[in-house]
Amino acid sequence: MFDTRKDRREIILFGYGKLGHRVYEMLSTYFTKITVVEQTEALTQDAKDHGIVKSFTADFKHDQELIDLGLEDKILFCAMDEMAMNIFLVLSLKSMTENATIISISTSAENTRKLKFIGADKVIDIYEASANRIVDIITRPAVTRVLDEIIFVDNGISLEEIEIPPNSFLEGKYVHDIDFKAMDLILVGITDKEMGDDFIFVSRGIDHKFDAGDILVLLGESHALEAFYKKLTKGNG
Amino acid sequence: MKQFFLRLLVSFAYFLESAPTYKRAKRFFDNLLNNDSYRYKKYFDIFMVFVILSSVIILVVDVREHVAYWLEWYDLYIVTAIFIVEYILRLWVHDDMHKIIIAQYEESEFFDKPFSFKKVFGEIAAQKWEYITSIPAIIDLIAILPSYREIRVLRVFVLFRAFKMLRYSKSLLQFFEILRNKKIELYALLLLLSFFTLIASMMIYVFEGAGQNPNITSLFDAIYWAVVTVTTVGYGDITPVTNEGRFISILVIITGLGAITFLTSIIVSAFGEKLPEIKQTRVLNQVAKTKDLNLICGYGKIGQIVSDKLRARGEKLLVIENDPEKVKKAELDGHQVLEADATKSDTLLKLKFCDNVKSVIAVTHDDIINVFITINARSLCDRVEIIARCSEKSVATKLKLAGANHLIMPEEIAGLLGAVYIGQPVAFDALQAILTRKKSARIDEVEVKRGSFLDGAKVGDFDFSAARLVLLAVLKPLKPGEKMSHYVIFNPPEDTELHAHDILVVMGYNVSIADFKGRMEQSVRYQKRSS
Repeated sequence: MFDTRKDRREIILFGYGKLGHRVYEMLSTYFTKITVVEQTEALTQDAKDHGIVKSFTADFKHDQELIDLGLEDKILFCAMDEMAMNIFLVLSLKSMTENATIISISTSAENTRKLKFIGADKVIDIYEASANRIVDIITRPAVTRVLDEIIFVDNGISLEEIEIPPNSFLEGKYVHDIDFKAMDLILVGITDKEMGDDFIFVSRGIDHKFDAGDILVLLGESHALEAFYKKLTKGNG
Repeated sequence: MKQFFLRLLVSFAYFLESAPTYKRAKRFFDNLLNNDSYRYKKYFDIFMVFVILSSVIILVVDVREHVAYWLEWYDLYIVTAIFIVEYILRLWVHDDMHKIIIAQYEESEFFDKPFSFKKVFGEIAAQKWEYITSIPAIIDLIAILPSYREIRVLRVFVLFRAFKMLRYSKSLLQFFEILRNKKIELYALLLLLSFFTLIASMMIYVFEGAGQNPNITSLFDAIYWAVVTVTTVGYGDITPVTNEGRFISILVIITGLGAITFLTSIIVSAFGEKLPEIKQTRVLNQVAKTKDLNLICGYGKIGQIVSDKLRARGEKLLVIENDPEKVKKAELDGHQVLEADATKSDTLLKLKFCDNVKSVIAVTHDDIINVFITINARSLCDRVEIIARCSEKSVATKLKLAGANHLIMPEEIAGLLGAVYIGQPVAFDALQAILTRKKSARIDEVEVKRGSFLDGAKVGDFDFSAARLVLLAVLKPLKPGEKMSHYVIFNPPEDTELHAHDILVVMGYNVSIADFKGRMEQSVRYQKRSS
């Protein structure tokens, strides 16, 4: 991820138990502004012992204690070990925020359905995700290898989304006008504003016109992505 | 003379021990006759069942009607010859005579003792006698007897030809095996029933045998009546005529019904107890013939989802679980299940592990058990792919050391997916769609086939864009001809050369990928035809 965007939003991680602890480890490799909130003093202390300065104890049943954390415009990540608590927390957070993004961990299809129903923006079913990975390793080993290199391995290759700023060199041009390969990039797809924010895979073959606000999903090496990003934002100062 | 004979005997024994053709032949016949997992035994069994059935039919038809001459000839010579050869072969493969001779000779040389012919032949005879007196061997021998047409009484032994079928029908054998486990209950029932029948027959004889009932003139008539009544058959040729006799009838009928109910419950409970074992044997037999099997060790949450998804993608799988509740769940979900402990090498060996198994997926909820499964699998086979689940980081290193190829850490995956989503929600959705194939655009792998249009071509020679595909990467074998390990070239330049066994990772819609794969196959066929 570009450093410029790395710290763009703050994350509040609810839970520092078995699950929350591991989620924090992964999040902290990409983001720095993470606050940990726990229900029990012992786990908050555990977080502090692991060097997390911004770790607090709050009673999730008391709305005011949650509101006091300053939830608006933040990423609220629910990773409590108890699924019932995650569901309760998502419901509480949804009722007291408007612009926050709520992510929750789920452990079954049933919980996923409930979490989506009460308004979680993204639900990650840890067992389903793990199972998908196992199945891909067996049935599509080469694809898994490539995706691993993109997602898991720190080799400079990544999948990035870049929003087209106004007055960029892309504006008004069509997909086929731009030789992404010459820039060492692969254009995976576009979220086209004119098409109602639907994601369109480039392999569908429709020649889209680029507009400001469209989001490009690109695959490539960091330096190529960085160069493209600079080129794109050059006209904007 | 004795020394000469000894030398001859020992030399012959050593000759057999070192003769590969002899050993191969003996192993072949042993497999054919006794090894259920031997591929050709099935055909031999079918052949023998046909021979037995045809022979029994001929013998039965011949009782009242004259069968064609050639059928008699077939039954007399061909069937008998087959039975005799089979009997001799079974006697031969039962043990190794030459090994007894060698063992005795070496023992006598080592201890400087005289070679004992008596001991050797005694031992050989004892081993052969052991076979000859076994029930199947007696049946086999008696089944040959009906061939001597001159002695008509021997025809009664035609029954034994039917009994021979037992040897070739696993289900029949299994039925008797199951009943054998309940022999104490069955003996008790038989004893009780015999005792009661005897008492009832004596009583009816006492009450009606002195002229009251013209149909009961002897104790045998009374016993016949009691047996017919107690078994609830009731022919009606002998019926009680006195009130005492009718009262005894009521008792006999009630006892008979009770005995039949008891017998049924014994058989049902015997089957109930043996059912899991029968199921396991059936699963093992099926699996022993299955190649490229995926073993799912543990049917917890991940195990369940993996099993469903692998089945949906046409992969062959076997669930190994030792919790009976989870075994039941897996069976209800329609999977093949083996109730066993995957940490035991015996469990894996039963499956012909290294020959049949492609991957081991250790996804129990316990990290330590997953480590044990990994060690067990890796110690038995080098090439099998092992995917193991773990939650603790400290266990991850141990799993790698134990030989796991891939680690699945659910909590880490959750954190990583969360991080990707927070950083790039659009890319995350795109990735999810690609991975779960929900929006029909997907990433797939296509191997460059030898002789196909891409074998020897350059990346730029094919217009992927026109084929509605995006070439993401090319995986090239680390060594020429190597199929297992590759290095990755992302977004390969136009001048990248492609060769057979390279793997192209392409993104596209189902129809585009299917078309591309079709072109690959077609070009290989065209190449073969033109050459």
